[in-house]
Amino acid sequence: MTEPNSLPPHLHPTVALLPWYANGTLSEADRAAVSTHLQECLSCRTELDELVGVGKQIKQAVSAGPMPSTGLAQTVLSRIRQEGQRGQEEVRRTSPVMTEPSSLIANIDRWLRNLFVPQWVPTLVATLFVAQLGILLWTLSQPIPSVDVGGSITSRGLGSPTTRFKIEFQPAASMQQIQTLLQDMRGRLIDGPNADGIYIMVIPASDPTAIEQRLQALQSRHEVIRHVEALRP
Amino acid sequence: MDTTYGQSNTEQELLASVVGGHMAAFEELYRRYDKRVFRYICTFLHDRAAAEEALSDTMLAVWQGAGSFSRTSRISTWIFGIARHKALDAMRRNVRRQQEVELDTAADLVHPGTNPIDQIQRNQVADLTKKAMDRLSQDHREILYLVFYEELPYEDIALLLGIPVNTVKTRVFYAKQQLRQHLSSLQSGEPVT
Repeated sequence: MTEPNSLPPHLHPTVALLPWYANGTLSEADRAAVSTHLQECLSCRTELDELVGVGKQIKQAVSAGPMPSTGLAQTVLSRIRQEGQRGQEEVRRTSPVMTEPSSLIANIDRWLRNLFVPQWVPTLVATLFVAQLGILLWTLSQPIPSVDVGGSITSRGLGSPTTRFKIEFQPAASMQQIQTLLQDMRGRLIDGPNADGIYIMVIPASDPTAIEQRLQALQSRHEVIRHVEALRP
Repeated sequence: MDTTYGQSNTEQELLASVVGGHMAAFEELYRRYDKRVFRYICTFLHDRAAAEEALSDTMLAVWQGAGSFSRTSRISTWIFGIARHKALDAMRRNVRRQQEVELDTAADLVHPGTNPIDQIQRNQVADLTKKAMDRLSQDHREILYLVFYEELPYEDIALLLGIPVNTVKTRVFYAKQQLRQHLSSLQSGEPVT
Protein backbone atom coordinates (compact mmCIF):
# COMPACT_ATOMS: atom_id res chain seq x y z
CA MET A 1 0.00 0.00 0.00
CA THR A 2 1.34 3.39 -0.99
CA GLU A 3 -0.91 5.67 1.07
CA PRO A 4 0.79 8.16 3.40
CA ASN A 5 1.03 7.39 7.08
CA SER A 6 -0.51 10.69 8.09
CA LEU A 7 -3.64 12.66 7.35
CA PRO A 8 -3.60 15.48 4.79
CA PRO A 9 -2.19 18.58 6.49
CA HIS A 10 -5.25 20.74 5.83
CA LEU A 11 -7.43 18.47 8.02
CA HIS A 12 -7.93 18.96 11.71
CA PRO A 13 -6.31 16.12 13.75
CA THR A 14 -9.69 15.37 15.31
CA VAL A 15 -10.75 13.83 11.99
CA ALA A 16 -8.61 10.82 12.85
CA LEU A 17 -10.90 10.02 15.78
CA LEU A 18 -14.23 10.53 14.02
CA PRO A 19 -14.73 6.90 12.88
CA TRP A 20 -14.63 5.79 16.51
CA TYR A 21 -16.75 8.72 17.61
CA ALA A 22 -19.26 7.38 15.09
CA ASN A 23 -19.04 3.76 16.26
CA GLY A 24 -19.20 4.79 19.91
CA THR A 25 -15.98 3.21 21.18
CA LEU A 26 -13.98 6.31 22.15
CA SER A 27 -12.97 6.83 25.76
CA GLU A 28 -14.97 9.35 27.73
CA ALA A 29 -12.18 11.92 27.59
CA ASP A 30 -11.69 11.58 23.83
CA ARG A 31 -15.43 11.63 23.24
CA ALA A 32 -15.84 14.84 25.24
CA ALA A 33 -12.94 16.50 23.39
CA VAL A 34 -14.33 15.52 19.97
CA SER A 35 -17.83 16.71 20.94
CA THR A 36 -16.46 20.10 21.95
CA HIS A 37 -14.53 20.39 18.72
CA LEU A 38 -17.51 19.38 16.57
CA GLN A 39 -19.56 22.26 17.95
CA GLU A 40 -17.20 24.73 16.36
CA CYS A 41 -15.87 22.89 13.28
CA LEU A 42 -18.14 22.61 10.25
CA SER A 43 -15.75 20.51 8.14
CA CYS A 44 -15.44 17.90 10.91
CA ARG A 45 -19.23 17.80 11.28
CA THR A 46 -19.50 17.22 7.53
CA GLU A 47 -16.86 14.49 7.71
CA LEU A 48 -18.74 12.86 10.61
CA ASP A 49 -22.03 12.92 8.69
CA GLU A 50 -20.31 11.24 5.79
CA LEU A 51 -18.76 8.62 8.06
CA VAL A 52 -22.11 7.82 9.64
CA GLY A 53 -23.63 7.40 6.18
CA VAL A 54 -20.79 5.19 5.00
CA GLY A 55 -21.05 3.14 8.17
CA LYS A 56 -24.76 2.49 7.57
CA GLN A 57 -24.10 1.49 3.97
CA ILE A 58 -21.33 -0.89 4.99
CA LYS A 59 -23.55 -2.47 7.65
CA GLN A 60 -26.31 -2.97 5.10
CA ALA A 61 -23.93 -4.38 2.53
CA VAL A 62 -22.32 -6.81 4.95
CA SER A 63 -25.65 -7.83 6.50
CA ALA A 64 -27.04 -8.57 3.04
CA GLY A 65 -24.02 -10.72 2.33
CA PRO A 66 -23.74 -14.47 2.57
CA MET A 67 -24.21 -16.54 5.69
CA PRO A 68 -22.55 -19.82 6.52
CA SER A 69 -24.46 -22.91 5.40
CA THR A 70 -26.98 -24.21 7.90
CA GLY A 71 -25.31 -27.62 8.03
CA LEU A 72 -21.86 -26.22 8.75
CA ALA A 73 -22.49 -25.61 12.44
CA GLN A 74 -23.64 -29.20 12.90
CA THR A 75 -20.59 -30.54 11.07
CA VAL A 76 -18.15 -28.49 13.10
CA LEU A 77 -19.88 -29.20 16.41
CA SER A 78 -20.02 -32.93 15.69
CA ARG A 79 -16.34 -32.93 14.91
CA ILE A 80 -15.58 -31.07 18.12
CA ARG A 81 -17.93 -33.28 20.13
CA GLN A 82 -15.96 -36.31 18.98
CA GLU A 83 -12.74 -34.59 19.97
CA GLY A 84 -14.30 -33.64 23.30
CA GLN A 85 -15.20 -37.24 24.04
CA ARG A 86 -11.71 -38.34 23.20
CA GLY A 87 -10.33 -35.63 25.48
CA GLN A 88 -12.60 -36.61 28.36
CA GLU A 89 -11.64 -40.26 28.01
CA GLU A 90 -8.04 -39.19 28.12
CA VAL A 91 -8.67 -37.25 31.33
CA ARG A 92 -10.47 -40.23 32.91
CA ARG A 93 -7.63 -42.52 31.90
CA THR A 94 -4.87 -40.37 33.30
CA SER A 95 -6.64 -39.40 36.52
CA PRO A 96 -6.64 -42.01 39.30
CA VAL A 97 -8.94 -39.83 41.37
CA MET A 98 -12.45 -41.21 41.63
CA THR A 99 -14.92 -38.67 40.37
CA GLU A 100 -18.09 -40.09 41.86
CA PRO A 101 -18.80 -41.74 45.19
CA SER A 102 -19.15 -45.50 44.94
CA SER A 103 -18.32 -48.62 46.86
CA LEU A 104 -14.77 -49.53 47.82
CA ILE A 105 -14.83 -52.61 45.63
CA ALA A 106 -16.00 -50.59 42.65
CA ASN A 107 -13.19 -48.11 43.22
CA ILE A 108 -10.59 -50.85 43.47
CA ASP A 109 -12.02 -52.47 40.36
CA ARG A 110 -11.79 -49.16 38.48
CA TRP A 111 -8.24 -48.61 39.68
CA LEU A 112 -7.19 -52.08 38.57
CA ARG A 113 -8.84 -51.58 35.20
CA ASN A 114 -6.86 -48.39 34.80
CA LEU A 115 -3.69 -50.47 35.09
CA PHE A 116 -4.71 -52.32 31.96
CA VAL A 117 -5.22 -49.23 29.87
CA PRO A 118 -1.70 -49.26 28.32
CA GLN A 119 -1.84 -51.68 25.41
CA TRP A 120 1.34 -53.54 26.37
CA VAL A 121 0.14 -54.54 29.83
CA PRO A 122 -1.78 -57.70 28.80
CA THR A 123 1.29 -58.86 26.85
CA LEU A 124 3.53 -58.29 29.87
CA VAL A 125 1.14 -60.17 32.16
CA ALA A 126 0.90 -63.10 29.74
CA THR A 127 4.70 -63.25 29.39
CA LEU A 128 5.22 -63.28 33.16
CA PHE A 129 2.60 -66.00 33.55
CA VAL A 130 4.23 -68.22 30.93
CA ALA A 131 7.68 -67.65 32.44
CA GLN A 132 6.47 -68.60 35.92
CA LEU A 133 4.77 -71.72 34.56
CA GLY A 134 7.98 -72.71 32.75
CA ILE A 135 10.08 -72.32 35.90
CA LEU A 136 7.56 -74.37 37.90
CA LEU A 137 7.54 -77.21 35.35
CA TRP A 138 11.33 -77.24 35.11
CA THR A 139 11.65 -77.41 38.89
CA LEU A 140 9.19 -80.32 39.09
CA SER A 141 11.03 -82.20 36.36
CA GLN A 142 14.37 -82.15 38.26
CA PRO A 143 15.25 -85.41 40.18
CA ILE A 144 15.08 -85.08 43.93
CA PRO A 145 18.61 -85.72 45.35
CA SER A 146 18.64 -88.93 47.37
CA VAL A 147 19.86 -88.69 50.94
CA ASP A 148 21.97 -91.52 52.27
CA VAL A 149 20.59 -91.65 55.77
CA GLY A 150 23.08 -94.29 56.73
CA GLY A 151 26.17 -92.18 55.96
CA SER A 152 27.45 -89.18 57.78
CA ILE A 153 26.18 -85.83 56.64
CA THR A 154 28.92 -83.26 56.39
CA SER A 155 28.78 -79.59 55.72
CA ARG A 156 29.63 -78.72 52.14
CA GLY A 157 30.79 -75.27 53.00
CA LEU A 158 32.62 -73.43 55.69
CA GLY A 159 30.23 -70.54 55.67
CA SER A 160 32.94 -67.97 55.32
CA PRO A 161 35.67 -67.07 52.81
CA THR A 162 38.50 -69.57 52.83
CA THR A 163 42.08 -69.89 51.61
CA ARG A 164 43.70 -73.01 50.29
CA PHE A 165 47.01 -74.20 51.61
CA LYS A 166 49.36 -76.79 50.07
CA ILE A 167 50.59 -79.05 52.87
CA GLU A 168 53.13 -81.80 53.12
CA PHE A 169 52.78 -83.70 56.38
CA GLN A 170 55.65 -85.20 58.31
CA PRO A 171 56.03 -88.87 57.38
CA ALA A 172 55.85 -89.70 61.06
CA ALA A 173 52.69 -87.62 61.77
CA SER A 174 49.86 -89.74 63.11
CA MET A 175 46.21 -89.58 62.06
CA GLN A 176 45.33 -88.23 65.51
CA GLN A 177 47.81 -85.36 65.17
CA ILE A 178 46.45 -84.44 61.76
CA GLN A 179 42.83 -84.48 63.01
CA THR A 180 43.83 -82.32 65.98
CA LEU A 181 45.54 -79.88 63.60
CA LEU A 182 42.44 -79.72 61.43
CA GLN A 183 40.24 -79.05 64.45
CA ASP A 184 42.61 -76.41 65.78
CA MET A 185 42.78 -74.64 62.46
CA ARG A 186 39.06 -75.25 61.63
CA GLY A 187 40.36 -76.59 58.38
CA ARG A 188 39.42 -79.36 56.02
CA LEU A 189 41.35 -81.46 53.56
CA ILE A 190 39.76 -81.17 50.16
CA ASP A 191 42.28 -82.89 47.97
CA GLY A 192 45.31 -85.17 48.10
CA PRO A 193 47.53 -86.75 48.45
CA ASN A 194 49.04 -86.34 44.99
CA ALA A 195 52.05 -88.28 43.72
CA ASP A 196 54.34 -86.13 45.86
CA GLY A 197 52.25 -86.65 49.01
CA ILE A 198 50.85 -83.08 48.90
CA TYR A 199 47.40 -82.29 50.39
CA ILE A 200 45.23 -79.27 49.83
CA MET A 201 43.66 -77.85 52.98
CA VAL A 202 41.14 -75.01 53.19
CA ILE A 203 41.02 -72.75 56.23
CA PRO A 204 38.69 -69.81 56.90
CA ALA A 205 40.75 -66.78 56.05
CA SER A 206 40.30 -64.15 53.41
CA ASP A 207 42.32 -61.02 54.04
CA PRO A 208 46.12 -61.09 53.74
CA THR A 209 46.72 -60.59 57.46
CA ALA A 210 44.54 -63.56 58.43
CA ILE A 211 46.15 -65.71 55.75
CA GLU A 212 49.61 -64.81 57.03
CA GLN A 213 48.59 -65.63 60.61
CA ARG A 214 47.19 -68.99 59.55
CA LEU A 215 50.32 -69.69 57.54
CA GLN A 216 52.56 -68.91 60.54
CA ALA A 217 50.38 -71.06 62.80
CA LEU A 218 50.70 -73.97 60.39
CA GLN A 219 54.44 -73.49 60.01
CA SER A 220 54.82 -73.61 63.79
CA ARG A 221 53.39 -77.16 63.88
CA HIS A 222 56.71 -78.78 62.90
CA GLU A 223 55.80 -82.07 64.48
CA VAL A 224 52.91 -82.50 62.01
CA ILE A 225 53.74 -80.36 58.99
CA ARG A 226 56.88 -80.65 56.97
CA HIS A 227 56.11 -77.91 54.46
CA VAL A 228 53.22 -75.53 53.94
CA GLU A 229 52.45 -72.65 51.58
CA ALA A 230 49.33 -70.61 50.83
CA LEU A 231 47.83 -70.92 47.41
CA ARG A 232 46.91 -67.59 45.96
CA PRO A 233 43.52 -67.50 44.30
CA MET B 1 -23.83 -28.95 37.12
CA ASP B 2 -25.70 -26.52 34.94
CA THR B 3 -24.93 -27.37 31.34
CA THR B 4 -27.11 -24.76 29.67
CA TYR B 5 -25.46 -21.61 28.51
CA GLY B 6 -27.44 -18.63 27.32
CA GLN B 7 -27.16 -14.93 26.70
CA SER B 8 -26.81 -14.29 30.43
CA ASN B 9 -23.37 -15.86 30.50
CA THR B 10 -20.50 -13.49 29.84
CA GLU B 11 -18.00 -14.47 27.23
CA GLN B 12 -15.37 -14.90 29.94
CA GLU B 13 -17.63 -17.41 31.70
CA LEU B 14 -18.31 -19.20 28.45
CA LEU B 15 -14.64 -19.47 27.59
CA ALA B 16 -13.82 -20.74 31.08
CA SER B 17 -16.42 -23.48 30.59
CA VAL B 18 -15.02 -24.26 27.14
CA VAL B 19 -11.60 -24.71 28.75
CA GLY B 20 -13.30 -27.19 31.09
CA GLY B 21 -14.50 -29.14 28.04
CA HIS B 22 -18.19 -28.18 28.20
CA MET B 23 -19.67 -28.56 24.75
CA ALA B 24 -22.83 -26.61 25.59
CA ALA B 25 -20.69 -23.57 26.39
CA PHE B 26 -18.83 -23.95 23.14
CA GLU B 27 -22.08 -24.25 21.20
CA GLU B 28 -23.23 -20.95 22.68
CA LEU B 29 -19.91 -19.32 21.83
CA TYR B 30 -20.18 -20.77 18.33
CA ARG B 31 -23.68 -19.33 17.91
CA ARG B 32 -22.49 -15.91 19.02
CA TYR B 33 -19.58 -15.80 16.61
CA ASP B 34 -20.12 -17.95 13.54
CA LYS B 35 -21.88 -15.34 11.41
CA ARG B 36 -19.60 -12.51 12.49
CA VAL B 37 -16.49 -14.55 11.85
CA PHE B 38 -17.84 -15.77 8.52
CA ARG B 39 -18.53 -12.22 7.35
CA TYR B 40 -15.10 -11.11 8.48
CA ILE B 41 -13.53 -14.01 6.59
CA CYS B 42 -15.54 -12.97 3.54
CA THR B 43 -13.65 -9.68 3.47
CA PHE B 44 -10.66 -11.84 2.51
CA LEU B 45 -12.19 -14.71 0.55
CA HIS B 46 -14.68 -14.66 -2.29
CA ASP B 47 -15.15 -18.40 -2.41
CA ARG B 48 -17.90 -19.76 -0.17
CA ALA B 49 -16.35 -23.18 0.30
CA ALA B 50 -13.00 -21.65 1.25
CA ALA B 51 -14.70 -19.19 3.62
CA GLU B 52 -16.64 -21.99 5.32
CA GLU B 53 -13.52 -24.07 5.63
CA ALA B 54 -11.71 -21.12 7.23
CA LEU B 55 -14.65 -20.62 9.62
CA SER B 56 -14.58 -24.29 10.53
CA ASP B 57 -10.82 -24.19 11.12
CA THR B 58 -11.20 -21.04 13.21
CA MET B 59 -13.83 -22.53 15.50
CA LEU B 60 -11.84 -25.73 15.92
CA ALA B 61 -8.82 -23.64 16.85
CA VAL B 62 -10.95 -21.74 19.39
CA TRP B 63 -12.04 -25.04 20.96
CA GLN B 64 -8.53 -26.43 21.04
CA GLY B 65 -6.81 -23.21 22.09
CA ALA B 66 -9.29 -21.87 24.64
CA GLY B 67 -6.91 -22.79 27.45
CA SER B 68 -4.14 -20.70 25.91
CA PHE B 69 -6.18 -17.49 25.70
CA SER B 70 -3.93 -14.95 27.42
CA ARG B 71 -6.63 -12.47 28.54
CA THR B 72 -4.49 -9.59 27.32
CA SER B 73 -7.16 -8.80 24.74
CA ARG B 74 -10.91 -9.18 24.38
CA ILE B 75 -12.17 -12.62 23.47
CA SER B 76 -13.61 -11.20 20.25
CA THR B 77 -10.23 -9.79 19.25
CA TRP B 78 -8.63 -13.16 19.96
CA ILE B 79 -11.19 -15.03 17.86
CA PHE B 80 -10.97 -12.54 14.99
CA GLY B 81 -7.19 -12.86 15.17
CA ILE B 82 -7.48 -16.61 14.66
CA ALA B 83 -9.96 -16.09 11.83
CA ARG B 84 -7.61 -13.60 10.17
CA HIS B 85 -4.77 -16.13 10.16
CA LYS B 86 -7.01 -18.85 8.77
CA ALA B 87 -8.34 -16.53 6.08
CA LEU B 88 -4.87 -15.36 5.08
CA ASP B 89 -3.74 -19.00 4.86
CA ALA B 90 -6.73 -19.77 2.66
CA MET B 91 -5.99 -16.72 0.51
CA ARG B 92 -2.47 -17.93 -0.10
CA ARG B 93 -3.82 -21.33 -1.12
CA ASN B 94 -6.46 -19.74 -3.33
CA VAL B 95 -3.90 -17.58 -5.09
CA ARG B 96 -2.31 -20.78 -6.31
CA ARG B 97 -5.62 -22.20 -7.47
CA GLN B 98 -6.72 -18.90 -8.99
CA GLN B 99 -10.28 -19.68 -8.21
CA GLU B 100 -12.59 -16.80 -7.74
CA VAL B 101 -16.12 -17.93 -7.18
CA GLU B 102 -18.58 -15.20 -6.40
CA LEU B 103 -20.29 -15.58 -3.08
CA ASP B 104 -24.01 -15.98 -3.03
CA THR B 105 -25.65 -12.78 -2.10
CA ALA B 106 -28.89 -12.19 -0.36
CA ALA B 107 -29.04 -8.61 -1.56
CA ASP B 108 -31.75 -9.38 -4.09
CA LEU B 109 -34.08 -10.90 -1.57
CA VAL B 110 -37.03 -8.84 -0.43
CA HIS B 111 -37.54 -9.27 3.27
CA PRO B 112 -41.15 -9.79 4.31
CA GLY B 113 -42.84 -7.15 6.45
CA THR B 114 -41.09 -4.15 4.94
CA ASN B 115 -42.11 -1.61 2.33
CA PRO B 116 -41.07 -3.22 -0.99
CA ILE B 117 -39.88 0.08 -2.47
CA ASP B 118 -37.76 0.88 0.58
CA GLN B 119 -36.47 -2.64 0.56
CA ILE B 120 -35.52 -2.51 -3.12
CA GLN B 121 -33.82 0.85 -2.58
CA ARG B 122 -31.95 -0.55 0.41
CA ASN B 123 -30.92 -3.59 -1.57
CA GLN B 124 -29.65 -1.40 -4.39
CA VAL B 125 -27.56 0.67 -2.00
CA ALA B 126 -26.24 -2.44 -0.32
CA ASP B 127 -25.40 -4.00 -3.66
CA LEU B 128 -23.63 -0.85 -4.81
CA THR B 129 -21.68 -0.61 -1.55
CA LYS B 130 -20.71 -4.26 -1.77
CA LYS B 131 -19.41 -3.76 -5.29
CA ALA B 132 -17.48 -0.69 -4.17
CA MET B 133 -16.02 -2.58 -1.23
CA ASP B 134 -15.02 -5.45 -3.49
CA ARG B 135 -12.96 -2.97 -5.49
CA LEU B 136 -11.06 -1.85 -2.43
CA SER B 137 -7.70 -3.31 -1.48
CA GLN B 138 -7.84 -6.11 1.06
CA ASP B 139 -6.43 -3.84 3.80
CA HIS B 140 -9.01 -1.12 3.16
CA ARG B 141 -11.94 -3.55 2.97
CA GLU B 142 -10.88 -5.23 6.20
CA ILE B 143 -10.41 -2.05 8.21
CA LEU B 144 -13.75 -0.58 7.12
CA TYR B 145 -15.43 -3.84 8.14
CA LEU B 146 -13.77 -3.79 11.56
CA VAL B 147 -14.66 -0.15 12.25
CA PHE B 148 -18.18 0.07 10.85
CA TYR B 149 -19.55 -3.46 11.07
CA GLU B 150 -17.73 -4.92 14.07
CA GLU B 151 -17.47 -1.46 15.68
CA LEU B 152 -14.15 -2.27 17.30
CA PRO B 153 -12.12 0.37 19.16
CA TYR B 154 -8.97 1.48 17.35
CA GLU B 155 -6.76 -0.10 20.05
CA ASP B 156 -8.31 -3.52 19.36
CA ILE B 157 -7.89 -3.10 15.62
CA ALA B 158 -4.24 -2.19 16.07
CA LEU B 159 -3.79 -5.31 18.20
CA LEU B 160 -5.63 -7.51 15.73
CA LEU B 161 -3.76 -6.27 12.67
CA GLY B 162 -0.44 -5.85 14.43
CA ILE B 163 0.02 -2.26 13.29
CA PRO B 164 0.43 1.05 15.18
CA VAL B 165 -2.67 2.93 16.31
CA ASN B 166 -1.72 5.89 14.13
CA THR B 167 -1.63 3.65 11.06
CA VAL B 168 -5.10 2.38 11.95
CA LYS B 169 -6.44 5.93 12.04
CA THR B 170 -4.90 7.03 8.76
CA ARG B 171 -5.80 3.77 7.02
CA VAL B 172 -9.47 4.24 7.87
CA PHE B 173 -9.38 7.75 6.50
CA TYR B 174 -7.89 6.70 3.16
CA ALA B 175 -10.06 3.56 2.96
CA LYS B 176 -13.18 5.68 3.30
CA GLN B 177 -11.85 8.07 0.68
CA GLN B 178 -11.28 5.17 -1.73
CA LEU B 179 -14.74 3.78 -1.04
CA ARG B 180 -16.32 7.15 -1.79
CA GLN B 181 -14.50 7.32 -5.12
CA HIS B 182 -15.60 3.79 -6.07
CA LEU B 183 -19.19 4.55 -5.12
CA SER B 184 -19.17 7.71 -7.25
CA SER B 185 -17.72 5.82 -10.18
CA LEU B 186 -20.27 3.03 -9.88
CA GLN B 187 -23.17 5.48 -9.60
CA SER B 188 -22.04 7.37 -12.68
CA GLY B 189 -21.38 4.14 -14.57
CA GLU B 190 -17.72 4.94 -15.08
CA PRO B 191 -15.26 2.10 -15.32
CA VAL B 192 -13.14 1.89 -12.22
CA THR B 193 -9.44 1.49 -12.55
